[in-house]
Amino acid sequence: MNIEIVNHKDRRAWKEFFDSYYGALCNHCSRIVPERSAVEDIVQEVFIKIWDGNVVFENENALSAYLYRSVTNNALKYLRDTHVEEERLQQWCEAEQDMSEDEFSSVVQEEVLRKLRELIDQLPAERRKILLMSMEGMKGEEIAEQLGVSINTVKQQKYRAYKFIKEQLGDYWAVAVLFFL
Amino acid sequence: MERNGHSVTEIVHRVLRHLLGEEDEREREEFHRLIHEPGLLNNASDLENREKIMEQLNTPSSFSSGEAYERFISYCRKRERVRWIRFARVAAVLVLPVLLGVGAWWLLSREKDSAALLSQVEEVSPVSPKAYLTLETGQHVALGQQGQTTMQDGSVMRQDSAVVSYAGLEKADKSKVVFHELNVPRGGEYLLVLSDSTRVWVNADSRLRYPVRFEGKREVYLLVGEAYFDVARDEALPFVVHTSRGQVKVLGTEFNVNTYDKEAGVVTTLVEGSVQFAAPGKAVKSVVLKPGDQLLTGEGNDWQVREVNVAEYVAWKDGEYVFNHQTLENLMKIVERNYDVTVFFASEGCKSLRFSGDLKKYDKVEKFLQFIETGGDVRFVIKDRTITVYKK
Repeated sequence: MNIEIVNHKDRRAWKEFFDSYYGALCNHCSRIVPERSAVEDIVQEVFIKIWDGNVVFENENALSAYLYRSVTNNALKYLRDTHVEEERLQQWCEAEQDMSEDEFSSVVQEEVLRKLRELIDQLPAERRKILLMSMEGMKGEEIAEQLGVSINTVKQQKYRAYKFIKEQLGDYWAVAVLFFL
Repeated sequence: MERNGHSVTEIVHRVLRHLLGEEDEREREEFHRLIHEPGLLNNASDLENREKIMEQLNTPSSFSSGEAYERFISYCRKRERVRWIRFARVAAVLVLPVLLGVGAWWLLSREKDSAALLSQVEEVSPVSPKAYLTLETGQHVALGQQGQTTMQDGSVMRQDSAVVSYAGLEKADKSKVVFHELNVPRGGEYLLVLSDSTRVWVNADSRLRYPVRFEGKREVYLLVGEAYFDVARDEALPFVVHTSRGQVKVLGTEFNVNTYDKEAGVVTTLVEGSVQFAAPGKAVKSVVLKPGDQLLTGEGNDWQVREVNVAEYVAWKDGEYVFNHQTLENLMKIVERNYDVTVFFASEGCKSLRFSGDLKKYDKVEKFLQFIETGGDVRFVIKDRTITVYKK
């Protein structure tokens, strides 16, 4: 995710940003608020607030933190305002300043899938297919046979896919380390 | 986002490495210890279950982002319309007395006016520059209003709607070099005056990183985009512009550096003086330019020096684009950057049509499009900041 796209509010490029986060944020939100329609409204509102506002993000970490935080806060606010499920609210509000275990686990879960999708989507079609098959535990020969390509092609594509993802994660890792040094 | 001193990013990274089987024995152990750390995660078993993750990956999301995005965009457009209507209401109050006056005059003179007052044309003006500065502290300062900011070291940064300059730097601590980064979005443009009084015009969709005060050397970083430099003369200290593809080194001189086009590489156009370009890792290879020369560094080693009509490449800083036998595709890229619009070619063939002329940067885009329409076999339709190009 190129952070400038989000900061510059380029409408065409925003779709990429929106698509990447929308499902993840909705899933996270629906763990707090059960009503589906409310979930989508809450997430929409967070995007609109960024679009209308002047928040500028330093990097993807800051963006993710902002998004999940806002969704969580707005979801809690929704629960409070609608006076539903006071027990559930109690549970979420009693969480310490640090993220609660539930909230943290939910964010990790969504970010694993979202980040993985984002990385895989950047691969060319054949390479993506071979990577997915291999991640599902298929052997090189099986993949070659099923796709009707040579074993060497499979090996090469797999190597390139892993290399790409490793490089991308390398970046990601470096940012994380910097953040916490 | 942290819990027990672990960030989401860190854990996500570990999970993905584990999923790809890209870890050694020690890392695998560490991974298990991390995700099973008491009180950290309540879904550790899901995170190490490859089959479960693959299954979730293959399950289409129950929330459709496509529809939601449509809803989002239409909401944003509606808000823009509301703002416009509000503006129109204010405008109407101002215009009404004028119209009354005109009406009276018209009644008196009985002269027929055939002006198409009723024709409704959507107008797209260049967007006002909304650049921002990123300070060393990571703090962002929105530019565009008059004001000044006092830095930690006591120096003062002055800004108005289009210029940033610095003062009081001599008081500052000389041992520490502070960097600022100027971000100019699409539709913007900004003039920056550096501490050696070198002036830099930074074009739309560009980022420039520079030290607030030059200390011992004069070096700036054009991270993305295009900038025009009018470098203050200092024989002892060459001025260096770093780009992702190499560096431009100069003495007092005027030149333009453009990195927009990935294929063309770094396009350096020299107006006055002399400059030298050197690619990274290839210290041997450098080129010296004469005024009127342009250097294109494409992919690899195929550098090309050619003589050009300088105005075509540098007039943008004076609010004008001059083009000569330029493809419509390239012209529309300039339009996209300057008006923050999206251009869509309904007919692929139109891209290669060529035009000559000029575009005043602050004109309404319609004026420019009309000019192109009269000169070529194309037709433009503007809707919601999207320009569609049709064959006539």
